Amino acid sequence: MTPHTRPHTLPITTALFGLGVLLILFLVSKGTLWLLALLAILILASYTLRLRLPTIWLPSLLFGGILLGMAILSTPLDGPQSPAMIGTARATFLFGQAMAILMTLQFYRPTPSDPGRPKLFALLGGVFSLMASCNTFDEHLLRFLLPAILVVIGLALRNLRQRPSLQRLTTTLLFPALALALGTGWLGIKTVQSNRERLTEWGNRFMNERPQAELTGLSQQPTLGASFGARGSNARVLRLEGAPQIYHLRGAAYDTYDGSRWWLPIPARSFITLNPQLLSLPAPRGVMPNRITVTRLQSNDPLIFFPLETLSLELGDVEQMEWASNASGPVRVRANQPYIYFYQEAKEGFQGLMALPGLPTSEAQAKQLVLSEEVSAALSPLAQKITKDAKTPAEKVAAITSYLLENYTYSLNFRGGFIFAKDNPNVVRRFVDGKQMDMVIRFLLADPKQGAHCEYFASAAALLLRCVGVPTRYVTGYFAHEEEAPNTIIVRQRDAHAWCEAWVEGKGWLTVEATPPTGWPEQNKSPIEPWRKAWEWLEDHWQKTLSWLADREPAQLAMLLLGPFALIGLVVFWQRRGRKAAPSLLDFLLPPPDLAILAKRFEAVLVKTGTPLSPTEPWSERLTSLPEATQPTAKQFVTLYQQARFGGKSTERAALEATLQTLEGSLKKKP
Amino acid sequence: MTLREIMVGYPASKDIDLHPYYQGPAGKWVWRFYHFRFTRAGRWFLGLTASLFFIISIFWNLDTQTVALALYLAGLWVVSLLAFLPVPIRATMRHAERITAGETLQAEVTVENTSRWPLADLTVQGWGLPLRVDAEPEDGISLGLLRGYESQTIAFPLICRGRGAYILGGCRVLTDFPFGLLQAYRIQRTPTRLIVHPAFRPLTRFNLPSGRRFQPGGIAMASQVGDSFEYLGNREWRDGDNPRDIDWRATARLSGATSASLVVREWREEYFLRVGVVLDTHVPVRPPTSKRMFLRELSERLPGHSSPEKRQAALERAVSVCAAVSDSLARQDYIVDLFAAGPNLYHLMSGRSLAYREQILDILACVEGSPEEPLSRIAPRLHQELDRLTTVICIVLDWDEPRRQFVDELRQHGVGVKVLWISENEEAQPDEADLQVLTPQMLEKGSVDVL
Repeated sequence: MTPHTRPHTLPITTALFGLGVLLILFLVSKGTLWLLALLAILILASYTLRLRLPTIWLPSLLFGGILLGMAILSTPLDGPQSPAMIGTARATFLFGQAMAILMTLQFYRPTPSDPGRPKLFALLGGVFSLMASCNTFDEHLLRFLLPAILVVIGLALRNLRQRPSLQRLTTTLLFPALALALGTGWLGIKTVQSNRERLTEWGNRFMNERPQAELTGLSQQPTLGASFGARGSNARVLRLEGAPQIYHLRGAAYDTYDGSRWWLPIPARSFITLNPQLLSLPAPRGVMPNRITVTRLQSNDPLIFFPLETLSLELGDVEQMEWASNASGPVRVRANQPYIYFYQEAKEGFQGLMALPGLPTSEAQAKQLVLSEEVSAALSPLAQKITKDAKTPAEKVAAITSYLLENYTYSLNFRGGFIFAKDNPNVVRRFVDGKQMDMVIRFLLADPKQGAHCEYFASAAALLLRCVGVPTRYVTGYFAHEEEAPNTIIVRQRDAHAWCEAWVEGKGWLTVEATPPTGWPEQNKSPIEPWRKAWEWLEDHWQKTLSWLADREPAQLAMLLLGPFALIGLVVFWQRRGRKAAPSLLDFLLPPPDLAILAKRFEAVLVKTGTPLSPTEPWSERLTSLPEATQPTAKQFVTLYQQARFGGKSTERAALEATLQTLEGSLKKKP
Repeated sequence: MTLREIMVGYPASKDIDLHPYYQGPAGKWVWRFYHFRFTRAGRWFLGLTASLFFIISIFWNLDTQTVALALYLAGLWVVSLLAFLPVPIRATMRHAERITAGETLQAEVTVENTSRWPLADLTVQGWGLPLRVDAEPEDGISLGLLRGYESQTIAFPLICRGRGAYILGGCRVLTDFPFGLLQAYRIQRTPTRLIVHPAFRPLTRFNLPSGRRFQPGGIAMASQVGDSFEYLGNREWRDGDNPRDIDWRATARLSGATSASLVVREWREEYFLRVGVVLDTHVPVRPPTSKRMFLRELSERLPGHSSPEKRQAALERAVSVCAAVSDSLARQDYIVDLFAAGPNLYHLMSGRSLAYREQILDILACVEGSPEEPLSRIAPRLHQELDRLTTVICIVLDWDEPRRQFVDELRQHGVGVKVLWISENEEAQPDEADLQVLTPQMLEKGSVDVL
């Protein structure tokens, strides 16, 4: 640090803003970030201390580096309020503290050349720090502090430019402006709060970053509507690594069908916590289990997805798994996204974890066979007709699947509100007598037949099979097909799918895919835009970096962050060293070191005789001040020295040394 | 030009028409919007607000407090949009018409609030200033608050860094009330002329060589009947004398003593000597881009090699020397014929009026480098005047064969020639008696008092 006669201090509004930001971050972190107290003291001390850091120089870098190291050490590995923060609380707090340090350093920057810069940097650093504080769901504290800090920001912004002292009238005008800004902000917040749902949906649709659950069949309760009309977004949901062979990733299963809906809705189910030990089945003979790593990417859906044939489940990053006890799944988890879990798949047809219990109980079987009177009456004749040649449940399943695949086409829009006249397809009449009719009945009995989407096919297959006594359940999930890299499959929202599972005696639960192949997600895919791929690449690498950083110990992080400082220091040191090593003009002008020693000794002799020797005074003019007896020796020394220095004679150094010793000796003897 | 210079290094007070990169109307509009509407803090704060909104759009979770912070910041911006309202201000700028390079022009700006509402945080900035005229401070001068119909006059210093004839665009009155993010402004277009004379160090003595021809070759000092000539003495009448010159009193005094011959007063007519000053303005054209890099390297490796930049600097020194010489000659009652070419051919024969020195400096203020050899353009005009010139002072930027030839031709006409070589480097050596080399160091030190 360099002392200054007058401390260059930032405006009081900037200091107030800085202190306010530190206070907010301290409170949001529940008082865990003790370094902020030190920073606050440093800011206050800057008004009395007369020490300022040199601009971009080693002490400045070291000071910043030390503070940064302290920030790393002071940031708790897992803050107590981490569930309230978006992302890792540690990373957020670390960023906030780093910005607070940047802000504090500005108070110690001298500002002779650009007085505006430290003020500006302090303000920007402070706002970044504030952003870190605000990255939370907890509004109790910030609801009151944010308006106050906004007033200070407004005043601090004004002080970035040199102005004449504030006049009363200006103050009178300024405060309404601040109030107006506050009011506008508050109005904005209220608008967002009141339109939260709409804005979220709008954002989901346009940003493609969230699941459009209601449109993809992965709703809390599948409902068959008259039209579908939209596909899921391109947002990524899962990444499967390990060459999966089974593509139907099961999410939730539904047993009861009524009123064009599948029941129970997921929120209505009761969940029990699963013992991780029970999530593994013995591998069947001759089956080599295939272990798949699943990364759950963006989604708020708490369900996890894996095939029916899953042999075992491993928790991975998942804190807790829960099973819906009164239905055939799903499995719900508690974890912060993105998270990883693992499953092992067996061969197709294997009765995995989700097929348990193997034989449906009579109660469950009753649920999986139940049909409403309307559906039973309408569909049973058709089901009987389709399966008249089928003897076994497996044959019935095959017959019904074939019937649906052969007779119906896939369409995103099911025009279930109308039905065409039998004799003239161009004439439409309202279906039946305007009475509400089940959507599956409309789908199956329409004449001519209408195209529909996977939910209809899955529901139709499930209900037709029930009509002929085969227990079924409706399943929603994803159809994994898009290869991202070798042995890696990426699953997007648009890959959401519905199918049904049927209980076949002797085989167990089987996946029944009744949707025509043209309707499978792999057939409907449109190419992913290059910008989206680039964005996903960035997302992945950012996530990898964050995960890597989160795994580091504080000491490692400190080393990592201090490394650049140390490197800069080394470079600076090396440059300075190189600069010193380079010969300068002065080096050529100065006498050689051995001669310089002799010259110093001789000058010491001259100085002993009286007044100090002036730098411009030649030796020969001072020889008279020596005792008369020693003057010839001194003169001889000067002559010899001139010869050695400028005459290029190096052999006379010994003589020079001897003469000087004689002179010194004679001067010592004299007293 | 670096990216920083392109984006923010060009001050808002300058004339955007002079910027090499913002040539099209869209580019100029963007530059004006960026510099005139946003303050420095506003530009940074806009980036910060945008990044905040970007983060929100990535997470798109409306339950976080980041949204609240962003909306409060948006509130600041919304109120700052007041800047797009018109500013009821009238401003007038007055300043001297001439100044010397390096001096500060004290302009005077009167700002009047034409509405009844007070206007806070007013600042006066330059607008449309030439590149070599800088407002001081660049950010403008703060006026503070101006009440309704109130006016205020402030000193507005302009540093004139280089000679030239300029048009000052006017001034811009702005206010960044309330938060210093956006600026409301009014441009007062009052184009005024400013001539910045070259700075020079007056010479204490200037030795002028004389030619072999009959002297004087100038103009009679008396320009009309009644002007006084230098009185030499009285003598007796000779036939042919002007009767108006008879000194009757002296005739009367002497009439008793000698024969009664008339006594006349004898006068000697005085002449101004005419001296030609030829200014070499040759600055080579910048070569095409493909060659430029190579030549730049060459000029760095070979210190003696000429480059447009070095030559331009030498021209500026030559103009200063020319001004010093002209000033010295003016003080010694010479008539100066100034010949210079670039971009126009200038020939000024300065007369006896008091503005004579001003006229020369005005021309020197306007002289620019000529891509062609200017001496070939000057020579025909100079030869027309050569019979009436006693001496020619050649201020040259190089000493090559064409210039030697030019000077030799002048000598052959019998005029005295003095050559001042304003060299681009320190190594130049005179090879003739009448040739004097003025190196950059000599002129920068200000050690040239006698020529």
